[in-house]
Amino acid sequence: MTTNMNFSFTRLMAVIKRDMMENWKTNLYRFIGVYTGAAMAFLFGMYGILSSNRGETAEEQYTSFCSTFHSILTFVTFFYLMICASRIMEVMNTKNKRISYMMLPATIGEKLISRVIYVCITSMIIFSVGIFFAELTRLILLPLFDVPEEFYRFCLFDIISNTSLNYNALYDDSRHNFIIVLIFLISWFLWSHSIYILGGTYFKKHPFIKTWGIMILLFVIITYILGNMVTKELFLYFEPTDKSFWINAVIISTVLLIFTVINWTLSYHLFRNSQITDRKLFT
Amino acid sequence: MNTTMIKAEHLTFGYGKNKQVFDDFNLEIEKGEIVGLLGKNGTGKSTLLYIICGLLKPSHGNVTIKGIDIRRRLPQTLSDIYLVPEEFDLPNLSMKQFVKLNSGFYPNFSNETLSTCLNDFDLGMDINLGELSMGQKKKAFMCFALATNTSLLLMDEPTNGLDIPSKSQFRKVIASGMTNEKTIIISTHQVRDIDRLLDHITIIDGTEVLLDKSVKEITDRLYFCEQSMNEPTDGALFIQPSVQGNSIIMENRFDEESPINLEVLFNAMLAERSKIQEVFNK
Repeated sequence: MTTNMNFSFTRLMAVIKRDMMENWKTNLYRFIGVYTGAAMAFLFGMYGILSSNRGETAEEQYTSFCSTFHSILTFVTFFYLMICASRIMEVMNTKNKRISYMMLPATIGEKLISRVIYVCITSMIIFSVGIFFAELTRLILLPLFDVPEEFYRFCLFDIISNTSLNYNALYDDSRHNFIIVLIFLISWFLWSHSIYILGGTYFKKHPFIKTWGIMILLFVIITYILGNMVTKELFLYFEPTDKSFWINAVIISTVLLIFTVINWTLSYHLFRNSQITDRKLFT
Repeated sequence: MNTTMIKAEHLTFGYGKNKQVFDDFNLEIEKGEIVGLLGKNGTGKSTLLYIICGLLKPSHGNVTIKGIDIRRRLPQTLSDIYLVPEEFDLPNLSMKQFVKLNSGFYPNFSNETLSTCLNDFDLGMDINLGELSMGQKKKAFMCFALATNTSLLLMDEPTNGLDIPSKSQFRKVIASGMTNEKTIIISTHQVRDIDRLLDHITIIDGTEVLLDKSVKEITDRLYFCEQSMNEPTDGALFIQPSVQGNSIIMENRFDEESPINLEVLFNAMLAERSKIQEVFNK
């Protein structure tokens, strides 16, 4: 293997492969967890919507099913990605694992990138495959239920696209505004994700719960401070029809992206300074 | 030609304000030696091994391996060091898969050395690492470590958990894998398992190195013998009661050859340090 001191793609792939293969059991359990949870949710959700029929047509029931699962899937995917992000240093959560990973002949950057790929891409692939097989299971088990023909469709695309929601209508039919909202949402997601990456790099045990707890605490404190500072007039200032609202959204997005970069930088700093003892932010 | 493998200069390290392990500690280890790192519990043997491979960072001072600062954690340095810790986890994979995934990181990896070593320990390439006993895991891991052919091999309590035949096999595989370009550091309390294997003895006591001499120099200067209770012990530097009578260390005034007794030497360095050091300073 190359002895390049800076970055080697071959070495990066070898680190990822090693990580994936040596943790195949964890990946398998994660897949089984996603598959079982999603399959049960699909089946019970479908059964629940059908059994609480209040005179809707089959098409309306199907739309309701897709709409409900669109919200659930969005929420679950977000939390799943945050949990995975917080487990970025799972390979270093015990002394023995830290010795093994730190002694691996690869650069700090390669090891971190390999972990980022694992918690972002590999985890998402495991999640998607689990959901896909859960949907296949729902289709296979459909003959056991007395369901309308509409439910025999492969519903994942309908759930993800969810045609019942018209986003453009929410944003005054303006494509420009829609893009700003999209940028804001993406910035907010990236920032949240980077917070859990930072939490995962800092906390060795229960990183998700600890990071989540700190975020809730910060949210409560900031809300309390803002509640005392911000006047009702200021809230009116943030009307979506007002042009300055969109300017503020762009500013907030930019600030969130700056904080995202800071969080990633701190995570790298923490990882680079890792020892077999506790990780310290300031060494 | 530079023959220094490890150079630790002015190391200061502690696990907290009240747990100082090293204070201005210096050590130099040459290439081509099997070094026995000895010390009492808590004197920092494992800590020193971790600092040498960059797993711990000293608050002051630095360690260089072949002239490269280990704190940089360069792949080229890491691919030339292998650490066998006292406790380790092995993945639930076959040895073949483990080798396939990890051998690529070590440019001098030898499959031949691995299979020979595994054979010596009555293990095969088809073993599943997740299903082995603690001792078998240790043997398999040590075989992999030897097969990496790194210039520096660090072993922390390698004979812990090994059965009696495996201990002699261990000595055999270590000796057979040794070359002039390699350095092996063995940190252990089980001195009798390795006393015939060592070229160099380093006894540490946290703040300082109590003894850092080659086995040849030690046996040139000191004479180790066993005496019955009735025999006189005049001129002995250190006397330790044993089953036969007394284990004695004397100054080797007549250039007599005697096998080193590490246990007695270690106890002598703790109890009669100044007397022993005086002999070496002559």
